[in-house]
Amino acid sequence: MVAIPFVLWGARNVARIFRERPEQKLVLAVSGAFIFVLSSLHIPSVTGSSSHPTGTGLSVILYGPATTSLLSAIVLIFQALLLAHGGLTTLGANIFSMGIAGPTAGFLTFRILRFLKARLAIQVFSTAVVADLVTYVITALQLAVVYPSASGGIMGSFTTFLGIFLITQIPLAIVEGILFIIFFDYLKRSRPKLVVQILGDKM
Amino acid sequence: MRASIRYALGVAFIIAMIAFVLVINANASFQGSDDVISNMISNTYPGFKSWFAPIYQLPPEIETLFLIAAIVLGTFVIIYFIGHTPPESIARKQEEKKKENGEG
Repeated sequence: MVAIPFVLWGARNVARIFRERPEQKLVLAVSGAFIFVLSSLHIPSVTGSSSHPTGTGLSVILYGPATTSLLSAIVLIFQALLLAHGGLTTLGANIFSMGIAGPTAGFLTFRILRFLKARLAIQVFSTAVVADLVTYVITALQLAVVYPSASGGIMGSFTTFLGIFLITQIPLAIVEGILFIIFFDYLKRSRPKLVVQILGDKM
Repeated sequence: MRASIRYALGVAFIIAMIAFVLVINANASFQGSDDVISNMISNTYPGFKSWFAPIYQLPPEIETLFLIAAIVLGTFVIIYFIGHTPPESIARKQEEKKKENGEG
């Protein structure tokens, strides 16, 4: 239920981009494609387990958390219907963690670093890493609320789940951060006017 | 440093990181972290049923096909975007070339 207003807000943003800035359609499609591809890739991690990045960093930087929630919802619906990843019964919880909580935290990080005039690479890297990691922090919290530990309660489960997720996820978040530094640098070099148009001022 | 070299170094770092993980965990199963947690919960809660229940389950080979199709489609969009040189980039490159040739 919490996810619905965000997704509708995102749909309104996307409709406005299509209507007022049709030249940005391709950039928007690429933002969605990154979520599509990266969230489908299970990458091995240091713990001997694997996980997937979220891919929301680019969309968060360019279009904010609401639009990202719509793009994530589309990807998660596809994965739930056709790939049995996640499932329809947990769609709302997944959209909340991957499409709302993570992107909102990433967006706040981006705005703070922009305000502090940090280097662009640091802004992009931090946004992608925070959006990725917060997604898994919230997933651990959601699971802990549903399955509290007999001895430690919700906090006990939360720290256990978070430990498993974070050790696996931190290297993957770093990979995602580096990937988005490369792509954003390319975007800035190849389409400087478009980047300035989207972000409102010179980077 | 030229942008293309920077990008190549970044990609090389990512590949090296994944290769390092594969080498140090040569015998690992690389089970998904969510599966690790599901197993942990099922040990703690004997009556545990997976948190999600797919309405229907596609045959594994069809599911793999969809997964590959999704990745290929997404990758195609990204590569198309990179390959599609925008007019402003062409104009800038021409400008840079003129300056290099001392025509500016």
